[in-house]
Amino acid sequence: MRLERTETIERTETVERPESDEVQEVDRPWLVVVWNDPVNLMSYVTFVFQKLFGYSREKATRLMLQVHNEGRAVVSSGSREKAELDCFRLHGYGLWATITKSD
Amino acid sequence: MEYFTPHGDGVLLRLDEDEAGALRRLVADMRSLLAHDDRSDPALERLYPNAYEDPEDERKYRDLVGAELRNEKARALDTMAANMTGDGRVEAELDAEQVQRWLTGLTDMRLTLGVRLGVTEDLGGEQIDPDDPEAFSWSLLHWLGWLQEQLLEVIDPDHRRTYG
Repeated sequence: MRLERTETIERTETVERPESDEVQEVDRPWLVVVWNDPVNLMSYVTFVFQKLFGYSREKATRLMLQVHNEGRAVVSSGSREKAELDCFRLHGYGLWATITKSD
Repeated sequence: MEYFTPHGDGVLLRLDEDEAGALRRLVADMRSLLAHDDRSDPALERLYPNAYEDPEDERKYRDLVGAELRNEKARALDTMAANMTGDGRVEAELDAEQVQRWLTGLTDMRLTLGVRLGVTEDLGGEQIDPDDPEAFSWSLLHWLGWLQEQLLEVIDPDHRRTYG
């Protein structure tokens, strides 16, 4: 993927972080957002989150419901390269995904 | 009707002549849609959504992945066609990769029908009005969803417990 645009993250101190599957926007500047669409099946959307990101059924279902009920959800984050790869794979599976920079 | 059943490490696909015919026509329609590659077509806008709001970022993203994304969509249709050769009924063994291609191919068909029918509300169990000139497209959209749901059930034993 686009190597010349890889985000370099300078870190001057080590910060201990608890293990978590939640998005940590501080060191993951690019967000991949999936938007609700009226056609894709809820079961299929859950399946895609599990398949592409290795999420548990529980986490994938929670994200699917967030998309369904709130209209959108951040499903992955990271370097620009990673966000573009994830977005591409979601587009390949027919999900409506976009990329935004974290504030 | 069970279209997909577990079969060894893969899935067995069975379609009668009419069902296979309908799917072959959909494959042909999708191939001609993808061949035009006209971004002003709302169906193609949905199949290839913008990743970025910023036009320059979007152009670069498109340069990077656009061709591969088109190839992915085409490969799904190629797989479906290859599993439905001839013009009669179908009985085909799908391996794991072919199953993924079927899932995405069915999705692209449903998304396209959804755009053509102007679907804006979440689909539910609504009745199809037989006098609606689009009744056949509506029934195809629901039927393809049923096919996809079945395929998901076959490859994921937890699926029926969660969504059945």
